[in-house]
Amino acid sequence: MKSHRWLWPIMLVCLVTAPVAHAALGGNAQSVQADQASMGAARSSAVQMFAAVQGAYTSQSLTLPSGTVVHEYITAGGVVFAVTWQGSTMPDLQQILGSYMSGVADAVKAYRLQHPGIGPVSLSTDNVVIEAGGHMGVYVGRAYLPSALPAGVALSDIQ
Amino acid sequence: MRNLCLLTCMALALGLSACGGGSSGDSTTVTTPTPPTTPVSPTPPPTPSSTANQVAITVNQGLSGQPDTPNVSVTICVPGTTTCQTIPNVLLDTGSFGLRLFASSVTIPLPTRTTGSGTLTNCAQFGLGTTYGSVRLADIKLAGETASSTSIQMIADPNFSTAPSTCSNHGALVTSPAALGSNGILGIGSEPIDCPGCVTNASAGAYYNCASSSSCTQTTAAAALQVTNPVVNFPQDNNGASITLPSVAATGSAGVSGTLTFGIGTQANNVLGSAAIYTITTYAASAQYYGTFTTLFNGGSNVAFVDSGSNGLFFNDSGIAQCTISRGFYCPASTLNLNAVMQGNNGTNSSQNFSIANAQTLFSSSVYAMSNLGGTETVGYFDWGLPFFFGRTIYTAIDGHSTPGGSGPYIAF
Repeated sequence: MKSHRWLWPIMLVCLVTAPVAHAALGGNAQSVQADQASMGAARSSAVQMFAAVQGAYTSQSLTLPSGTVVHEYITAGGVVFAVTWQGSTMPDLQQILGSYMSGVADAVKAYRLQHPGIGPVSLSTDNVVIEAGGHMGVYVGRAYLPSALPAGVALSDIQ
Repeated sequence: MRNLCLLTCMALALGLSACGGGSSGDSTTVTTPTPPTTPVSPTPPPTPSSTANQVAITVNQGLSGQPDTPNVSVTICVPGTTTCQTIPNVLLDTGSFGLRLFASSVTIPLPTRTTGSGTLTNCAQFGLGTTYGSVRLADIKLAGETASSTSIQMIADPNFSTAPSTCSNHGALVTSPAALGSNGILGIGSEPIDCPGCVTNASAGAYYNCASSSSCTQTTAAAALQVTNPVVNFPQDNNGASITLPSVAATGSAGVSGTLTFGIGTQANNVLGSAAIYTITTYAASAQYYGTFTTLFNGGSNVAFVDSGSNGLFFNDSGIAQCTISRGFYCPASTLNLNAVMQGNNGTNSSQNFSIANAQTLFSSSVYAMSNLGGTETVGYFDWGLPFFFGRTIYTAIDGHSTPGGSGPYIAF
């Protein structure tokens, strides 16, 4: 990198202006913390985060600039096992579903060919369950990995 | 993820390109600056109208055989001309705002809505699906009413076929009438425009300024540019609408017909009469919960809404068996008789009895209007979908508009 010192100011700008990013379903706790620190520094006026320990898991809350609130649930072993959202805009599903996004998108398309329309969706695919409802301006939903649910955690806890 | 950003940024820097993710600060808004969102000023009391204000609704097999889907026909015209087209099977939706039509269903040349040097495009989300396409201008004609030169969304417009990632990442793209079960969506809910927050916030993933078909940046959109609930653009009968549908037997019906009536208390055929008014949350009061009221069910309080675009009663009750084939719908062994309490923000409340039958049995019986179809919704939410409309007239008053029952938004029945 010695010969590319001119890159560093550009990279710094990139870090500061990077899109809101956070850990995805199935991701690890280290990435959550790194992203939290990064976002907290760069977007402190727009992004609020806090964490709460709930026994077998940790939950984090992220408020997007639109006001939409995303909760992430992390096992004691450090795996994001569930995400939920509620707000006036949908969150970036690619970011919060990560590697599960592609399978979910395919499943949604298949579901809609069976059940066309615009009502709530509830489906299970590729080891992930995703449920979404609400209406224009009030979006609500959650996605979770049944196989990664910590013992003793009820689905009703994930909201 | 941060490493990915670093790599991306390094690649961009090496290419001597600008960097940054596109989430903020880089949108090239060229619309005339507008003041921050302000509540719509209440309009004067409605003046009597004699304009033909009723449109037929059908709930039948429709395009796709999807049950409990209310469809209407919508006439669109090139603004100010007699070049018009009537499009059947458009989903009547009190849960959204504005007219959206698949480009493949539109044969007349509707002009695009420009914003500065570019074309305005729109992205909207419906139940994990996303509609994307250009904003076009049309005269929208429903019965004798005309919403002149009104912004609509042209879904899957081949001229703007590449959805920006900030749009497509919000849900699976809906690109054909087959996936929607209708040729479009007529959103006549309680708000005048489809994204109040977009007047000042460019990063909602809803509006884009496109310099070309594939070069689009997120933008704010002034209310006047946005996809607009056509009702508010009628010269009269513009404070809301009502939906009247007949009762449906427990075994369902192959099809029923009803009436969509524009205006509340503006003509002899749309008086509120004894209908009870349940006020709902305004956008000004809560950007996160607008259009909602409260429903008490199973001892819990739920955020609730009345939505003709939802084809069932959706609520969370883990004690009801789910269907194994049609996941998300309820399949109790025998029909359940349930009860919930609706509670308007104004304190109006009522106890509502409803039934949930076995969805799989209904789906296999060649009926398309079902009064007892239900399914799961996220914990804490209650979606009073189309089954609730059967046997009633339900009024939806629009935010900031005066009616004899007070200012909208509210629902009444």
